[in-house]
Amino acid sequence: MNTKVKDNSMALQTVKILREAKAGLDERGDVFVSISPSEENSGVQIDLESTLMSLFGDQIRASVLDVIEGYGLKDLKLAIRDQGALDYAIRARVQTAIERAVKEGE
Amino acid sequence: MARLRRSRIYLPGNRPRMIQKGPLLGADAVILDLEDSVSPEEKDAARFLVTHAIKALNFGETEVMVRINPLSACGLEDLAAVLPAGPDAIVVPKSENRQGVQIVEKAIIQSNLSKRVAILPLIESAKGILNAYEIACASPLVEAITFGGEDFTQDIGATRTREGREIFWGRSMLVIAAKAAGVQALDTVFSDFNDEEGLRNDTLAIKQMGFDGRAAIHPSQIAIIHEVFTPTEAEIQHAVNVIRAAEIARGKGSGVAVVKGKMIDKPIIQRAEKIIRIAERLDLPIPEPEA
Repeated sequence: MNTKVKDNSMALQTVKILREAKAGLDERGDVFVSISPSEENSGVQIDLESTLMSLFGDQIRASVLDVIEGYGLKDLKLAIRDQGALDYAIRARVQTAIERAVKEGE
Repeated sequence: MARLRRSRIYLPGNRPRMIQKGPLLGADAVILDLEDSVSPEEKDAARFLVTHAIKALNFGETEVMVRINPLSACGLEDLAAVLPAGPDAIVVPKSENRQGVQIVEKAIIQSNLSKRVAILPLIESAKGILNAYEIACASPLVEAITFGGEDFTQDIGATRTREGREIFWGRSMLVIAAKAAGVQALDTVFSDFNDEEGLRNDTLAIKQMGFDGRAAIHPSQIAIIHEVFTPTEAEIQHAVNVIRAAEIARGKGSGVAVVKGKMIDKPIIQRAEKIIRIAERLDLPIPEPEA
């Protein structure tokens, strides 16, 4: 089930979270992701809620971190409300939120 | 032989729950939709979701099609995102001429995939229907042309009815163009998914017209579509008898065979061979020829 996000267009550039952005739907099988900038050197802060926290919490966190790492992002805040999304959907939603948050001039 | 495409079901490209049900629905193909079922502000999200889904989910024997947005909108962005994931086919909406198909062909070739990606133009306007043959011949990657009845009806200023008289000529034209070009003809959806009898009758009618399959908008429609497009035991038996009779005639140096009092000639043999190929593809039992 694991698909590494190594092929995204931003991966090799230095990217920065410029604004707050959201992705995902508030429904079963999906995950709602909200991303916002944070101060330099504050690191990656993840606030995770999941209906399957005890079973998959670590795995979700690992997938989220993997996507963030793929973009080379260092400082950001992520709020994640998971409603039983599969790994591919979690990765897609985090990627969408990041792409929306790093876009300039919107 | 081309892939079996009796049914293909539309799944909204921004809904994970529906996408991941795709492999379990039993359809010959799923269409992960980036176009009409996705709102303009969610196009980017659907693109990422569909791309990840194709890479991560095991669709098994189910053909994975992606309906991109029209090339005049963000179709090229869709292609750039989804092609590296390696879908089986790209459905190109609002196809009206050969140029559109060739743009998609170029994008597929440039993506340097190790697999073949088919192009399925979706023809859904008066202009598209008049250019259906040109579209079907536009690229060797075109394996089928498909009809979009709802948009077509709107384009010609007609009203969509249960009987579908308003789309009869468009359907006929599409079948003839497809067969002249040597590709499959695939029909539109039957919109009222509560009307099983209507779906069955309409599907029987389009099979009779020469269509090779049709689209579904609800999982409950798949079984009915398959029932119509799957050869019956009697049809398979007849096909076996036809092929056997033709072999015997050929052995005697005769071009003419007879089965149950009817003359068997080349088109009948070809139709029988097609039925056997579909039966084999579906692992249906092939009986011995009757004496």
